[in-house]
Amino acid sequence: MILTWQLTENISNSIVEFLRDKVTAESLQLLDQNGVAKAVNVYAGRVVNNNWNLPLIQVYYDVSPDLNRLEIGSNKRLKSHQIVIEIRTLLSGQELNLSDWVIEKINDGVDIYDYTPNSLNPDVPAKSLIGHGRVDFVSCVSVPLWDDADVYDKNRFRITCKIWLNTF
Amino acid sequence: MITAIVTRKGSPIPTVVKQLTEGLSEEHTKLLAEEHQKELKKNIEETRERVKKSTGLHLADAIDVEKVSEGDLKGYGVGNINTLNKKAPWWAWINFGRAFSGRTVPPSDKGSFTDGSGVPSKENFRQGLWQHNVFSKDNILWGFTPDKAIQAHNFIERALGTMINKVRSLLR
Repeated sequence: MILTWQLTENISNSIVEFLRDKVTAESLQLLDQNGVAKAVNVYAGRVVNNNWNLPLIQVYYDVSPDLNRLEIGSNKRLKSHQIVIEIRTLLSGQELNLSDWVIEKINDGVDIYDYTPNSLNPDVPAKSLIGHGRVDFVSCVSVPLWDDADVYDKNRFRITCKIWLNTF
Repeated sequence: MITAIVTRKGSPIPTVVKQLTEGLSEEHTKLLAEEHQKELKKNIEETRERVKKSTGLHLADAIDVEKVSEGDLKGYGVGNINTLNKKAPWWAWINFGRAFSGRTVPPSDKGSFTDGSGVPSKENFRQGLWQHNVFSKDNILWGFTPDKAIQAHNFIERALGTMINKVRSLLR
């Protein structure tokens, strides 16, 4: 059996897809230093890739801080998935605006899908809805501004949230 | 109409209630702060990538619980930022993946690894710690140029994530 994406990957990707859809729907853009509008990009992954284009929203799963027994006499667990959303922008202050936008969008939760590989079109996996992920915000902080930070770290905001899935 | 006047010898009831509430709140705050400190230290250890250095300052040791008061407000703080900046300024690099200098990749240096080697073998990779300006066992000061950025360990967020649910079980 080839093990495909399980719940954690499904949740991460559902959030990435959710944010991409919202960005596209609103044609969300931010200005660069020359006043040129730049589309906001949404990327998945813990490590910053030098090919990523700013401004960006980076999403990755970090840890599952809760794995509690849901009820006595059952192996059902109430598990949270802690997701880190890093906002990185070209100009100072934009990261705050973009973080407000992200918080507002995900505040009502995110539909979580089960993805299965699609050999005919690998970039578009088949998906089916498995539930609605509730969001609890853990922290929302500006990453301190320090001298000589590279372009990805100059204007950075970090949102950490827990996703709880209602279906279990 | 019957009116009951409840008194306690010594102090009026509201004063006693206030004293009890304040005492309990302070006790609870202290309890949460101490537990938060434990979670921060636990997450630092759990995300450690290399062995702990035997001497010198450690990040976990720089996270203190301290009593803070401002006017009538009394509470406890965890991880004084000034103390951290002084004793373990690399806290931000470890948590956010970026140093105060803006670096993500450590700078080049000269020295050797703790096992006395200058170039660790495949078997010993990640086992030794780099020692600045310490000669190797063959008496060479080796050069070292890291090429990978330090990853964000998120120990602050991880501790917060755990504490949010722990609060319910801690405050009874």
